[in-house]
Amino acid sequence: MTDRQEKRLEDLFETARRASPMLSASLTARILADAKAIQETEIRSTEARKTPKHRSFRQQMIAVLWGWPGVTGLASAAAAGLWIGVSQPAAIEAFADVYFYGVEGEGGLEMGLAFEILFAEETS
Amino acid sequence: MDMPVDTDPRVADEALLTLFANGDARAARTLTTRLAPMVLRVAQRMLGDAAEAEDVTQEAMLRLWRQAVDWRHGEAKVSTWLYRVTANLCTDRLRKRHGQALNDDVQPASEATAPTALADLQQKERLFALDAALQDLPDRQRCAVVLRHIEGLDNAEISKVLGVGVRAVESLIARGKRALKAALDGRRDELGYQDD
Repeated sequence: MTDRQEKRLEDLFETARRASPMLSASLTARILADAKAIQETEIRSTEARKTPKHRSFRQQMIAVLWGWPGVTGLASAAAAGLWIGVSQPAAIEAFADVYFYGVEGEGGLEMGLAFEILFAEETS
Repeated sequence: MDMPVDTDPRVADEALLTLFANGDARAARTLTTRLAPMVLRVAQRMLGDAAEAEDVTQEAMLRLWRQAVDWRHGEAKVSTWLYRVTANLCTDRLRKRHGQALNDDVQPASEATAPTALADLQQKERLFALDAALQDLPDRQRCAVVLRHIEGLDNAEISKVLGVGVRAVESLIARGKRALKAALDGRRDELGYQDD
């Protein structure tokens, strides 16, 4: 393979690189119509399944805290219950702000990692 | 005045995809402008048929829209993913057209590609000659050469697109270029390449 052949081929490749095809108006419209349809159907239905309606962040936090099946171990649950029972509401909110971070997930709010670490069942 | 984030060229494709997944219609337009020409370019050179290339382009972008919600950030470049989808869609069409399994040594018939907006007549003729020679390559050689020398991907990216090792990519490109040179050598005078 000679240098001239290599050079001619590279010249042709350069011509091809510079010659970008034009998207026709009809193709562009079809692509954008598909995008809109996906946003209006599949994406919205996915988000609707994830997010419960008409529940504030605080309401979701309370539902998770008192309905959370992940607090395993009687000692952990008792400790949490005692703390929550004697604490002032403001303290609970402050604690929640620091230790709980809400993550939108299946069925509503899911607990953040910090909370899981804090209330992890002790194993021995 | 600050540029809207969904039209700012500095905003990465992944970020635009996230905006799209959150319902931003303008992100869809920007992604289409950025990525669809690239898909069309590859599809035209792979298929040699303008209408089929448009169908593949629409299908590839549709798959991107569907993937947006489940896109795993940081795992792959959007463009690499789209190249892979395009190559696979083209492969499927070529298999149906040829009626046989894809083979590196299969020689498909030449088919004209759609012209592009080139003002210079000689440039157009050279492009047509290259496209005709590309159509005579086996499908995977053609794909590897197009991705490397026209789309500018490196061999590692091409290996992800084609699902083969880097050495296989190098072999495909080397064989493809040898065949192109041989095919175009006989037309150098008509294409205006006088030896110096």
